[in-house]
Amino acid sequence: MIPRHIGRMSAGIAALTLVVAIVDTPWETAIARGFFVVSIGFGLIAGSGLIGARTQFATGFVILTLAVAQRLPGQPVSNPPSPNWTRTIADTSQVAEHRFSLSETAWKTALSKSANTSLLVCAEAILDQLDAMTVTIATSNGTFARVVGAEDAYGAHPRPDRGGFYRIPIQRDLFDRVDGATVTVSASQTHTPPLRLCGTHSIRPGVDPNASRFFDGTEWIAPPGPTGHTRWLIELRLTDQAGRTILAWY
Amino acid sequence: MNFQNRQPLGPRRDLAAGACAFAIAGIAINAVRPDDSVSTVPLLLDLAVSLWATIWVAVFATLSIGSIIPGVRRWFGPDAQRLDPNSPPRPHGFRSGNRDWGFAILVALICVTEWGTHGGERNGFLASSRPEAGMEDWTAADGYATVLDGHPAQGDGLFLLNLVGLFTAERPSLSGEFDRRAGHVWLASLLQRPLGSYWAFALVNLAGWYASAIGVWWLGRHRWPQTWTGELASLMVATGQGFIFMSTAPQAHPAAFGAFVTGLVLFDRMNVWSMVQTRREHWVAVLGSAWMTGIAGLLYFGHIPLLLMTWIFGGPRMRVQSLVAVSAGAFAIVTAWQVVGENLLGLRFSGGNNDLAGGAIRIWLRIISEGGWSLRWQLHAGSIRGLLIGAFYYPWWILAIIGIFASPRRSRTWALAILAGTLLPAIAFSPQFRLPRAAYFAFPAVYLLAGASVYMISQAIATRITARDDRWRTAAGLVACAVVIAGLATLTNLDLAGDQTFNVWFHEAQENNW
Repeated sequence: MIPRHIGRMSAGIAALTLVVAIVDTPWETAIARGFFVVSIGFGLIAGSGLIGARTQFATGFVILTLAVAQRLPGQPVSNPPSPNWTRTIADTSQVAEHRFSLSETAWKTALSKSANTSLLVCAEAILDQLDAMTVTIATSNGTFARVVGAEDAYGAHPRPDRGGFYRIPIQRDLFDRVDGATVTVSASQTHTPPLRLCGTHSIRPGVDPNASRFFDGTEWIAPPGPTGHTRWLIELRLTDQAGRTILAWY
Repeated sequence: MNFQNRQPLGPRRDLAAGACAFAIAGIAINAVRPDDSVSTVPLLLDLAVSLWATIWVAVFATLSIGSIIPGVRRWFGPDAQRLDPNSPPRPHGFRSGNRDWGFAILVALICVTEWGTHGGERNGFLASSRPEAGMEDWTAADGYATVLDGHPAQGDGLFLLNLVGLFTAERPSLSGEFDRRAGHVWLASLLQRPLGSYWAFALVNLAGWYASAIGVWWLGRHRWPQTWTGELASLMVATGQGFIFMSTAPQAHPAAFGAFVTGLVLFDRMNVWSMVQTRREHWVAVLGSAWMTGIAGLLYFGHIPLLLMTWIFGGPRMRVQSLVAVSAGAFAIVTAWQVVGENLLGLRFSGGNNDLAGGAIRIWLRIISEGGWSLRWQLHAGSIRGLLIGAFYYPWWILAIIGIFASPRRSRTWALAILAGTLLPAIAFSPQFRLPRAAYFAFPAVYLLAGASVYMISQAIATRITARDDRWRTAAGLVACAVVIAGLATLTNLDLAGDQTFNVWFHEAQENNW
């Protein structure tokens, strides 16, 4: 049996929690908070009474404290960098560039185990030979260029309304004993419809925050998105004999 | 191990369901026209296990729930448990000895260690979505990820932020894919201001994880008294695949798992199964159970397995009006949020994940209308064996099956009701998506049965290798248990050594591979 005075205190704390949660807040927030304080908060306080009066009191106190903490100034809900943005490449004077650092141990180890290397570039819309992009990859061993079209589509998603990968096989020799590579993507013909190149966030520690950039026809600028957390969706993939990806690198 | 209350087999629902499953699976394999699903021995075995498991779950659930009808109940002999003379000892709390506090702290340390070592970019949900895991061919190098407060997190977190913002009064009400799981987001929003989004969601997960471990410990003590079953199962939860996979992911599952176990504890603590209560005690138990079940539904779809378990275990031993009251109360709470959300907040509760359950039902109806071959093909294409092995790998199932035979009848019946109640929704959902994380709601049953099995085996080993006094036998038993738990924990932690196999299987099931 719960001692009556502790039970009353717990009930009081529950009521106070509801007041703290809903007063002086926008009505939508008040309704949403009020619903869950009553359904979950009050329920937890009542249910913890099965363990004991002190546990019930402690539970009520914790929930009240959290309700107070929810109102205090603190960390705002911040939007993460977009995982899925696009930039239109309207003519051949515009160029997207991504520089790969290939000096890390992870890359070199995986390269030594790999059977095939390829470059993946994400673009929105299905490409064909008249609506294509030109991809160039340059290392200290040489340069490789390729016009990319519909036959290079890779994976599940390339659709007119959604970004998808295009896969370009690259000779492994291009990466032997090199510490970096630069990939550029541009529209291949002046009369092609605009090409929308995909971008995403950059998470991996150690990646140069300025690895991706964009030449808009007059100057080099950062691609869209918050500086330091954004990149073109251009990646190198290393695969083994069975075709399994052993490293995805940017 | 307490073998005293084992009873003669007699006509039992679980055995009857097993026999039915053998018969129907045999017919489905032999009488339906051959196709690729029976073209090789591994595929044939995969189909056989999938058929047997699906039919057993369906028949056991049907016979148990059907026992609310007196005529059906009589098929299974004198079900003395209706009046619950075999009910576990009256509810008790934890003993307050130092040993218990020590064990609770040990479990907390293990949970925190597992949570910490599988966080951020090492999170299994996130890691298994990277191209290297071989599961997805559409994700970028970082996998299906978002960045919460600078921390890599599983990508769904992005879609929860509007709801968090609503609760913290920073954003207006905007509908999203996870409107039904708003209870989980509310819990996280309580921690948003001091900790930020990433740690808020991560800590809610840790709380659900620890609550599950402690709850399973309590259930083990309550239903397998005088054994170490609860302690062993609790350690399996602390090192469990489902919790490790979720770790810091902004997902409702760990909180829902915690709510599910809390519901099971509450049902036993309030003795909701018993018909020998005062009227007031009984209705307090029913209302409490309804509330807890509804809460599980506000976090995730936890009310479905809880209600199914309640009907399956309670069907033969509870009054129909009590079962209906628990169900109605639970759905009232879940529906109340939808009514409030739709009418006052403008949430839509549709689109994306909200519509998947309805989609699965439509697929089942189509399959059934197409006949036996379509049903068999579905169980091949959406291997139920692969689903179950994705949730719990073979060692846990083998131990759990041994545990079925090593457990007293009342505990076995209760555990089988949990198994059926939790696996039924996962199987029902499988034509849409095969989600071991839905089947993982079975963890209290699987881990407790496995714990009973490990305890029995450890005692047998201890008795065999030492005839010395009790202290030596206890020590030898503890060593045997520790070896098994360490072995199981090694499997669930293989991802730390770079092997994502179990995370990949937990993400999207094992398919037809063995």
